[in-house]
Amino acid sequence: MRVRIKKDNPGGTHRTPYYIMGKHGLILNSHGLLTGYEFDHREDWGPLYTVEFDMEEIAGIKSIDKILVDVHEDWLESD
Amino acid sequence: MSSHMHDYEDHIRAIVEDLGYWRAKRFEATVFRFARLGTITLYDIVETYPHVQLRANPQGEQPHYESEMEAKIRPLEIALGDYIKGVMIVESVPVGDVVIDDLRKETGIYDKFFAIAKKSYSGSLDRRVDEIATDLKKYQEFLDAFTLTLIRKGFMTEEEFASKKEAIKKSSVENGGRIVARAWIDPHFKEQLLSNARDAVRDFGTPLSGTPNLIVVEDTESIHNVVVCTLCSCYPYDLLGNPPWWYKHDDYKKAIVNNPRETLKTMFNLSIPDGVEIRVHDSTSDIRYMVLPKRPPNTERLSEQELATLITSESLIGAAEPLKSPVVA
Repeated sequence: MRVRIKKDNPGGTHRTPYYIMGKHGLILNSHGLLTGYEFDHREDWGPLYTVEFDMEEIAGIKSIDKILVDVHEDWLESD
Repeated sequence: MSSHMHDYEDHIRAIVEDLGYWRAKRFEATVFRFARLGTITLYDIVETYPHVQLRANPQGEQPHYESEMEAKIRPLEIALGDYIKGVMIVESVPVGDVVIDDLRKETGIYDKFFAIAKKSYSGSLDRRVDEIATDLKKYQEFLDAFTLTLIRKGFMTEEEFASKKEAIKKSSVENGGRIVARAWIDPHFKEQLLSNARDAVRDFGTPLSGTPNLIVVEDTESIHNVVVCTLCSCYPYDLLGNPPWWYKHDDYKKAIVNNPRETLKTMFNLSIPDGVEIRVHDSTSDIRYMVLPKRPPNTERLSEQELATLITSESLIGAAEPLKSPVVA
């Protein structure tokens, strides 16, 4: 499923890399909720997805390469 | 690990980077967090100093070193490893109500204003090495004092400390080596590793307590994988121990997501053929990634143990190919 990463996330308590904001990608994997890990964060950050981006889209260079980022649902918009 | 140390400067640079990072960004930030909360004050630590046992120099037979400089640098690297493990232990002690963003503020991730100064070393190689060794001894003593304070103030029992020490000893690149070697030899294990790494490595008998989720990504004839953590420096620490110093460096993080192909070539002298797709995995949340590199050619005769020695931290990140032949110990 094609998605677009939001440019900002006022409600979210976690970050996502700046370089994917506003960019389009493809959901590769859905990991669901990762909970029960006290040491990384205290609240539930929502379902997690691995989104695949073309290097061309991210860096503006001609490339066959890809970059995959784990993004929480509240950063995603359907494309 | 090779018994030949070819570039002393490279080793020293790595030691200085790691030492600076772990002391200033990880350990001292932890000390100030306790001070900020008032649960352990700087004066509590000073009080413990008379009770800290100074570490004796290693006893018994020393390994044979090729040169005097290597005989100075290797023990330094080992002592640094101990220091880092000690810092990881005190970091793991819960402090009550802490929010990860506050911790990041304290270490200067959001605002450089709060970053603690790192030290640089100058002068001849000999002089620098001696100065680093002296500093490391001082830092270790303070770390020991802080650790003792944690125990005395009830944040950690002696038993908990002993078991944390045992557990952390097991974290090292050797775990990665054994896992990869098994995957190269056993297609069934490889299949399990790629579909459910967490279960596969647990059944294989390697520690994975802290890592939330582990995904192993396979290099093939048409795909080369690389791992980074741009937001912080996530890494499967409890499985693999400490990553190489450059992994935590902004230079690497920025470059690898801007132009991975060029970066692998210029930073690591690794040229990926034009038809091979590079896939960069940014560990931005709770999943940790490890690369399953391609098995080097002409290794059919090697035992599983020998295959494991071909694996380096760099190859598990995707910045280097595995070694071509086993290192003579």
